[in-house]
Amino acid sequence: MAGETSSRLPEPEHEPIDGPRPVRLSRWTRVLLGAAAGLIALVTAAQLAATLLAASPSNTLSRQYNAQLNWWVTPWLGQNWKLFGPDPQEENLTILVRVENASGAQSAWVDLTAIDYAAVLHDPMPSHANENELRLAWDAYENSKPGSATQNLLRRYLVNFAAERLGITVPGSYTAVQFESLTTPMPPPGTTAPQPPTNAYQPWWPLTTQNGSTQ
Amino acid sequence: MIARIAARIGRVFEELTVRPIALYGSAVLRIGYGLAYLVFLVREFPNREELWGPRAAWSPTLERQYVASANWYGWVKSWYALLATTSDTRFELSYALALLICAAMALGWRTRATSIAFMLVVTTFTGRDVFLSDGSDNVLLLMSIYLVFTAGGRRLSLDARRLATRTASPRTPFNPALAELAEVRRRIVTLMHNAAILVIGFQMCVIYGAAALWKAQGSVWENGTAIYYVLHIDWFRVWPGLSDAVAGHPTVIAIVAYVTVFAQIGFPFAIFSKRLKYALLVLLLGMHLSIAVLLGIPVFSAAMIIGDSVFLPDAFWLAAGRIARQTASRLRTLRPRTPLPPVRTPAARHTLSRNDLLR
Repeated sequence: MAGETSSRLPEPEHEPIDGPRPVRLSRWTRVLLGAAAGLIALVTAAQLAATLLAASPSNTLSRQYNAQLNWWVTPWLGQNWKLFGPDPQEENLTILVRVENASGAQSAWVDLTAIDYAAVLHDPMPSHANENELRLAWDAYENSKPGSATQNLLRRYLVNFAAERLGITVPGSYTAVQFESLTTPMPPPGTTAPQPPTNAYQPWWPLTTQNGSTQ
Repeated sequence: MIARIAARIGRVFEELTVRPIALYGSAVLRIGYGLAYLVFLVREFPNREELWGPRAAWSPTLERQYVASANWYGWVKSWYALLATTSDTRFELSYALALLICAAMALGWRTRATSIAFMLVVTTFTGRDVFLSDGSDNVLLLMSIYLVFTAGGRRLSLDARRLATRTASPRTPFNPALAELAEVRRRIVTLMHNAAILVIGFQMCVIYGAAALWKAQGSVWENGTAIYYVLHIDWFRVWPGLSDAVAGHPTVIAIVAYVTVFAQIGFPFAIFSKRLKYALLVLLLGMHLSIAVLLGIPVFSAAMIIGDSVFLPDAFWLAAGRIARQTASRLRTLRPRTPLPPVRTPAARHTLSRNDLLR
């Protein structure tokens, strides 16, 4: 490996890649090199511009070139660096589910978030299964366009997730699932008095086979 | 005048096609990201079925329907959903292969081919359920793509070791045309590497700059209480006692909030100043280490720390390696202290900075 012994002279930081050079380039190969360099410069410039535009808050430029920008950055070169900005969430979520069987009997509420919070506690490297899965699925669902195809997929995602966490085999004796979310504001800094939560119920959603093929 | 400018452009072009910058830096990125994804996949091994398997909540059917509705090319869709399989065998084999590829990436074995495979691993795992992705996945995804274009296997790799042990007889090209083509290939590879290093450095600046811009719009970042709220998000309360202890110091968290925003917005400019750059890198390192522990997001922190290392010149890594070897050998033999060989002087660094695109 390079620089294995300390007695050796310091190696130059930059060196020709491999083998002896230089080789004199003829006109043909210079054209080839120039064309390749032009292409590299073009792709690099496009990537730099796209990175900047995609990462910035929506602006005149990014709106004007929205189509081109999306073509370049989706699905793998997307940029989202809000990282607790502009404002971090100021409330905590409790997400509960209950299930219903064919005869209409309903189970007690089960706290799905409590499972996550307990798993994350004292784990120096929490799993995506507990730190991200429900958090981001719920967030995506809440922010999806009502009635859209994406919202439909996310609803089935949440149903599957609930079934998985409850250990329910589908299809089985249970036919439907309901979500309730409690949003509890964090006590403002310097205070400790617990704030009253606001709650919201989702409609009963059918428990379908795991891949949703019956719908 | 025009001739002078043309000559100068020619020289810059020559430099960019002949001298690969930050060879150690790109090797460190390769090792770092290979290891980071390896650790991530090992950590998620017990949960792999739940997250990405055939019976995952985001089922292969949901994935296919999601991808089908996307406005992408057919080949992009097939690639994106490559891991969405209903076969347990195929999934388990993919997982095992992914672990091997990450290890090969860190070791630098057949680096160019391996880095393409590594990019396939990260893109397919991220794409399998995009709703699982946080900042760590986003950084790793981007870097895995950029690393394909770097010459990250030139240093600190099995490839480099193999090349070094091979008899160093200069291959005499029998055909001048082939020799020329080989030279053109070499130059294209070098230029591509340099461009990729530029893109990686730019990406890091954009992350910090954008994060700061977003924060600067937020009222609680302005009034200095943002960190209080972040530390109270139940999903990130890994050590509640510690979080509460930090959150209970309003002055400290207000200062940290302001320092965070200023460090992030200042970083893209600080890289042009040698002293300021190192000061900010140390500051950001501290920030990443703190949030790794406090918020339980070590993979994100690792991804950012590794990314920051693109700003460290080869001279830094050579000096670090030399000091590490010296310390190691001194500890091993417990010999009396011998003077260190000269660490690079500012004059020697100057030749480096001339070529370093990032400063």
